[in-house]
Amino acid sequence: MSAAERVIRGAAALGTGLGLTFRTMFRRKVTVRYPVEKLPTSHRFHGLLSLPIDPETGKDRCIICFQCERICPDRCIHIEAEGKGKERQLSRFDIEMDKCCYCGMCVEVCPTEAIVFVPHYETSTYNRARLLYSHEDLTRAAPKEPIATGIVARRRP
Amino acid sequence: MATGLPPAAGEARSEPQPRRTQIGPLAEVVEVLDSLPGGGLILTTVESALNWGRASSLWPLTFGLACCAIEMMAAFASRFDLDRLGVIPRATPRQADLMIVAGRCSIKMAPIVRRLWEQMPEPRYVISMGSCATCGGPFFYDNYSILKGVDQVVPVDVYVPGCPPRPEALIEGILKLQERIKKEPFLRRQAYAARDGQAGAR
Amino acid sequence: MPLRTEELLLNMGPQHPSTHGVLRLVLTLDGENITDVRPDIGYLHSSVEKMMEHRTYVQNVALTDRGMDYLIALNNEAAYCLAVEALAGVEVPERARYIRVIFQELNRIASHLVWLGTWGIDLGATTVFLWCFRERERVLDLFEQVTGGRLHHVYFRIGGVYADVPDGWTGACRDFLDYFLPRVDEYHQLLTQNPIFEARTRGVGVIGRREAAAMGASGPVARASGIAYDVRKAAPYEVYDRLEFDVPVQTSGDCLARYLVRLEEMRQSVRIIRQALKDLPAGEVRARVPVAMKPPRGEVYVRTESPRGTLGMYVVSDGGETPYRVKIRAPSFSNLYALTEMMRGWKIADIIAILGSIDIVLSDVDR
Ligand code: SF4
Ligand code: SF4
Ligand code: SF4
Repeated sequence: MSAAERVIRGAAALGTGLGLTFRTMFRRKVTVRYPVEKLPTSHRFHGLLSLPIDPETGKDRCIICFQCERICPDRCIHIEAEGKGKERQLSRFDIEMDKCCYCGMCVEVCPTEAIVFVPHYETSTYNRARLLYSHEDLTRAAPKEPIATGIVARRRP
Repeated sequence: MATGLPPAAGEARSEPQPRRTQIGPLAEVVEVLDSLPGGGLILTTVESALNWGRASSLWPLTFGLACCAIEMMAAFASRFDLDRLGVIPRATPRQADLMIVAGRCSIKMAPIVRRLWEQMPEPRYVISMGSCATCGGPFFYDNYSILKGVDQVVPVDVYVPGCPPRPEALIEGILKLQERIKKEPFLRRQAYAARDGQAGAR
Repeated sequence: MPLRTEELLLNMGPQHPSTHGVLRLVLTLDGENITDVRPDIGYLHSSVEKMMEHRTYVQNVALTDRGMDYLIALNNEAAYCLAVEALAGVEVPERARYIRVIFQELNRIASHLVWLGTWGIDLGATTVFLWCFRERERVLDLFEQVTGGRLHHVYFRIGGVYADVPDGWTGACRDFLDYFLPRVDEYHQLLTQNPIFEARTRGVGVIGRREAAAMGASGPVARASGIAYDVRKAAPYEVYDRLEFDVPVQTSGDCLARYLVRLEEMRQSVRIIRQALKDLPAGEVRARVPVAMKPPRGEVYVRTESPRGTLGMYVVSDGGETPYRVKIRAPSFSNLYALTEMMRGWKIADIIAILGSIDIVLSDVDR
């Protein structure tokens, strides 16, 4: 290939490439200006875990079956209970949110939908200890109105 | 370090810090100003201007370890475009102020992470992105090769949980860090560090 | 008289902006020419095979996402689930198999897009990176609507998939495919004709057919050297035998060939997804599998075609709740072998192009 030919080919390729770039300039922008505008997350988004309060009873729906603790692949749920029979209640329900891998297995196995994902992801902290979510934090993390997590409704057959 | 093992948490902090201060001869001026009546006000004003500048041009090190790095790349790419916040990746630690530890850090990698951090100029910040960098995450139990949290080798300023955190979550972590930088008594800390002969930037 | 220089050892990595992770290359240089390359791996070793022995079969799905190749979480899950299903004799419902194929192919597109974008940056074409990630975000949106995760999904389960796709998702997926095909042409326009790009890739990093086979290369690396081998065709799993698609093959074995193969693969993936969406049967998406499943004693090896090559999964069961042994045949690991062969004789500046073109993921190499 002669030098002139190379120059012409290069210029042509540059023209094609830049032409494409300029055309793109007038397309719709894809950038989301994050802190100002936020994208909606999907209904099934694996955000923070929470124990929503049942408005009828004023308590969470956990029946202390330890299923979620057993299935958790990261072993980051810690449940303790005290009392017998009807009086049995949670004395500890902690989730180490720093260890959690947001896999959703606990949500899947829970028989009463007591533990759910909430579409909330802005949880960074200055202090790692703050990522240990106690029962209180978990109930507080839940939104006030009931959430449609979609994926919860279709639990294992 | 020669053994390839990371230093224990306590050890890392007690190592003599290299003397690095960015304001050099100005340190005395700052000190005198600080002792004058009304000088504190001037210092604070200057400081907030400086801090605004520092917070708005955080340059992170392009440094990815595992899966979280892909989400970090996504945060730099078209949709989230971290350049809007003045966060422009630098390929060398010597030009970076921020290290985003994105992903799990193995024991073999730990000394290198530490060395990269040491090569960064003061003041430097670390964001630990994802469960693995924060505490080992999914690789905490039954595992012989992953460090249980990168804060064993470098001091971490902001923890971003998630596996992987969404790019928005990372951006939120960076915003949190900016907030913290804006409140920092940067000048005075540097001045006293220069006087005491140690760069105690943290 | 030719100038003789002393041999020089150069370390590249583990932290290097263009090593795509934490790979360390020990280069032996003669002047600017590479005489030998020794990859030093293990900087991301996460002992996932060992960890799997301590977790139940059901829990391990969450680990396959993370411990193996993280760009192709769904392909990993599929390989693992196929292996355990073969071991335990679980029958997967038809709809679930189609859904799995759709998601594996979507993940192939997403993975190739990341590869193209990062390789573009390596070669100095930043626009490609931004464009690829623009398209990739749309794939991730599709994922998020169904699986709830962007990168790690834990969506496939032993015996099917977690939940059916939501209403209207198939339409959204078709929209994406219509949007995506012209974009592949745009990448062609942007890169393939470009003389700079061509100069840096044509004839660079050649690996012949015989060497590629001898090194155990698979996937696009092997197909670019003329080995028309694709597990989806050779030993169809899921429902690939019912779908029509071509296996793109190039014969030159250089970086350009690998690039062309991958671009064509994206097109073929679109074709597969279109067919699968059309044929998608109704019905259940999940077979009944107990949480504490105990597959009978035995062993199984399953091959799948991941975007990087042949992904093998070898699972041994001793009849207990946890696998006795899991061995992963990682495609990146074998392809990394071929790297030495490709790089010998080239200049330092070509390393980046060659290393990028074989598309390794260090998490897959080290496991
Ligand atoms: S989401 Fe997964 S890792 Fe997190 S608590 Fe639930 S089961 Fe454990
Ligand atoms: S599975 Fe549900 S009901 Fe059972 S202990 Fe966990 S949260 Fe409570
Ligand atoms: S936190 Fe999750 S996504 Fe991030 S490196 Fe660890 S396993 Fe990967």
